Amino acid sequence: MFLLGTLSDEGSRELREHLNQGCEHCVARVKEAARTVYLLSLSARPVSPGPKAKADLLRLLLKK
Amino acid sequence: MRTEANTGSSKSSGANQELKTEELLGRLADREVEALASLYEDLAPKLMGLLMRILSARPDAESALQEVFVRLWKEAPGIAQTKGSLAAWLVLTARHVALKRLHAQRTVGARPTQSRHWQGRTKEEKAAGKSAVLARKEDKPRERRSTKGDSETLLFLAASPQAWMPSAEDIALADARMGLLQRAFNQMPKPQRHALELALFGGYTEAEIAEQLGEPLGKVNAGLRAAFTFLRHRQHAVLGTWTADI
Repeated sequence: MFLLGTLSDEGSRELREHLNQGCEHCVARVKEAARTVYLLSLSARPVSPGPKAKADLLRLLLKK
Repeated sequence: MRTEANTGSSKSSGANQELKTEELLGRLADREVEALASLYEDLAPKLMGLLMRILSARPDAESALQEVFVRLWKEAPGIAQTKGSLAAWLVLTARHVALKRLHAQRTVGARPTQSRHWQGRTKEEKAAGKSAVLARKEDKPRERRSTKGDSETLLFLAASPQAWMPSAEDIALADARMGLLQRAFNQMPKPQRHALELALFGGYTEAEIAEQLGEPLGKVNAGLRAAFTFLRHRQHAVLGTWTADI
């Protein structure tokens, strides 16, 4: 629920703190949830960005 | 959801794609712009599809896509050190960037314009998108939440990739069996899937989904947890990763 974003701000904060303490069990579960969110997100049909989008991005990065 | 057959060639191409992506990440960490351009060619359409699904308007989605790749450029050295999956990093970061923008739009009362891509969606995408649009139209000021939580989640994703990124091998295996996984996901009971898609692509909290659907919070909470348990079991079955706590 954390990676999905349905937890409250308070619940998310508590879990972030817990994960940052290195709980191996919870880290493993969050990684598994991340794979689930990854797979679900890819159910959206691919769309090509506009023809200028890539050139604009590279120009921006080369300026930095 | 995609339902194409998972052939032997698609298995190897999915795994090869992931391995190529990880190789490009190493070059990206060495500040090779060509590596970023190559990653963009390979992954931008998938990310753009997700961003369009969440934000609807193409200019908004393209702006979010640019933000994701600028973040990648800045954070590549740290991501490379984790040995996690770059594809997973990109997809989850793209989703959070888009949701942060969507919540900001709701906060100022703006409504996303309906996408021209709408007509090209699958039946399932149209149904889910329709629900999200209907839900947006019913937004009331008391239902809106701040973007503070989104910002903090984005900071966490950036600062602690080792705490959430699946391994490259794990995602390569999932990519190789994507067709089977998507077919298994399609078997999810419709009410659970509906609530899950409101969260996934609409960025709603459990309380907001309960209000949108006119259902008790406890029922929505239980439904979302059941949906994740269903998906978890299907992944274990397809990927062969059963664990003792199932």
